[in-house]
Amino acid sequence: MGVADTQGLTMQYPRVRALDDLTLSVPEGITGVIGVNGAGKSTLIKILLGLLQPTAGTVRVLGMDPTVQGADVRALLGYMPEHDVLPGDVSAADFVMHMAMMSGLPRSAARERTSDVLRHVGLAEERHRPMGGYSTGMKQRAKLAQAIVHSPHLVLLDEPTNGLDPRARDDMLELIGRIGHDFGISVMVTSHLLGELERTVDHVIVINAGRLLRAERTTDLTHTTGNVLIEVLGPPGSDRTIGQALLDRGVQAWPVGDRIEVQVERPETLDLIRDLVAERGLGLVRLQEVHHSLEEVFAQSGGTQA
Amino acid sequence: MSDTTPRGVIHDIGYRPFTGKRQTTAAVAWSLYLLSLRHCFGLGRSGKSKVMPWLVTALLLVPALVLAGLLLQLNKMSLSDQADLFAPLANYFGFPYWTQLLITIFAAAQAPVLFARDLRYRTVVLYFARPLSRTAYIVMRLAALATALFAVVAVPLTIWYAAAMSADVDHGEHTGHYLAAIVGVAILAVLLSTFSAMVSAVTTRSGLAVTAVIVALMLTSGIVTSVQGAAYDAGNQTLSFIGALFNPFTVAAELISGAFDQPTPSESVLHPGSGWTIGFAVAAFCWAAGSTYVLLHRTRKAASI
Repeated sequence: MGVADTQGLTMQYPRVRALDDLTLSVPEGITGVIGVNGAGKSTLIKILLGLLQPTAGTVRVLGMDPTVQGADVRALLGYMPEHDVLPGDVSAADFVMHMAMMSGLPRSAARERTSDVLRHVGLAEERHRPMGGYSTGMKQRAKLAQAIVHSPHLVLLDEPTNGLDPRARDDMLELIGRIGHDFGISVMVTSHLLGELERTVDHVIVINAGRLLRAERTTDLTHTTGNVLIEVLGPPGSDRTIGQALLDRGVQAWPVGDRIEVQVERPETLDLIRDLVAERGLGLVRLQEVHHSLEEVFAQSGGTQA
Repeated sequence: MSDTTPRGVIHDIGYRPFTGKRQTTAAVAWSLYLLSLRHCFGLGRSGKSKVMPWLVTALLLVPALVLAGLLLQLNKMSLSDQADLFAPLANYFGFPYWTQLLITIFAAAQAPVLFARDLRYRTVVLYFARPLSRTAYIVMRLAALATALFAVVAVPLTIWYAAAMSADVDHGEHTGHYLAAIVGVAILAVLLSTFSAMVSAVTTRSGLAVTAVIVALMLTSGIVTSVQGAAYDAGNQTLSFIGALFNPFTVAAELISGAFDQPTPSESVLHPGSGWTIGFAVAAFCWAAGSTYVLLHRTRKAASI
């Protein structure tokens, strides 16, 4: 059983069916929930928080039923909404501390953890300034800080990279990686962008139109293609010499930039590459497995992506 | 740490989870109540936001201090038996009635602090993702605003009453009127806090909310006063009572006048019989319950994630 599980979860609004017989399990670690806008990600989060009663099906979060033990579940959950939710006239330090207390932390613990958490998310100097003057990246950090300040066991991040420039996005993803792997807080992070999460998440759950499309470990999804990428060090054209030599011995190989991708059907092929490079007195700088990216995987399986 | 580590080095001990005991939901609710109450008086907020609540609080003390001074002075001059000739010195509920503009300003200025900001910035979403239920969140906020309103009126009343107790007046009469007025102020605090909270939640803009609360309360007050004036001249009791239903101040005044057999704050506000007293009790309930319903509905809807 994971940190959050649903069984046949259905949410019927008057006109739309947001979730349709959704059965999934969010394991410990970092889980990416991928789906286009309107796929049911936010509805799922609301149900996990115990703020919405599902039409049918069961849900368990941290071993509890949020439809009956909502308060107990929410004490141990962190939530970072997609939209801007920060009051502009309050400083991050005051706000995060207040939110820690609203999650049930005693005052002294709230104060201590606020300063710790703001340091961890990288809001040091600015934390005493009103949040209205923050950049989008800083606001996202403050939102993340309030989501983890009360030491939750599971944190739900709704599109945390939305609106960030590439650099701030990488920072945010790295921070999410640290929360999941170093802080020991399980993370469920939603995104409509598939490729963005693949380096950070351990598991991927794809939902579409309220239904489960796929749920797998990221490493299983981005399994090896059976190809290796080699890079040799030597006089110009060395890569072509090696490529040709491989082709001559009946091994499929093709250039990728100034590297060569080689199809490895038997382990002996790797020995062959080594021997060929050594024979020619060249240096073998890279011998790397080629992984599929998530986007390729879904393109192949006909999955929906934004 | 290894033995070779030099002393005095700062180590980044990394992230530490919280392992202590978490507080109960009731304790969380209490801390929200206290913080909201502090915010009503600008405490823990900017210097600017302290001006309005404390100015109103100070202004409300003035008439009470004057009345208290008058009581003490008359006592010194041994004229206490004629005290009622000088001023309605035992008509405690007249105080909130005659200072209703100040009380309205207080409610109008402080309700948006508790009810409009969270909706405007959508911060409610973060509250609702926490242990406190949506209803408990609103009830705690309302309780804080009602407490603040009650305090700014009840404190001057109590000073006035304390002066009366030290003077040679009818202590029984004063005590009765004072206690009735305190109940009336409590009812009034609930009516005003629910109404101004509702208006704040509907407008969500602080400036707009302040104006809307003042206009709504002062306009109805003006209309009710003129209707009652006209009804008084025409001797039409029913019209006078119907008019009184449309403003929280007159509803509270009529209710305690009828329920505790108190003088009304003004001649044109008629003393109701038991039938109309029940009517005003129902009206008070409708004002509070109706406002709370709209407030709850509006807050839940605006907070949909």
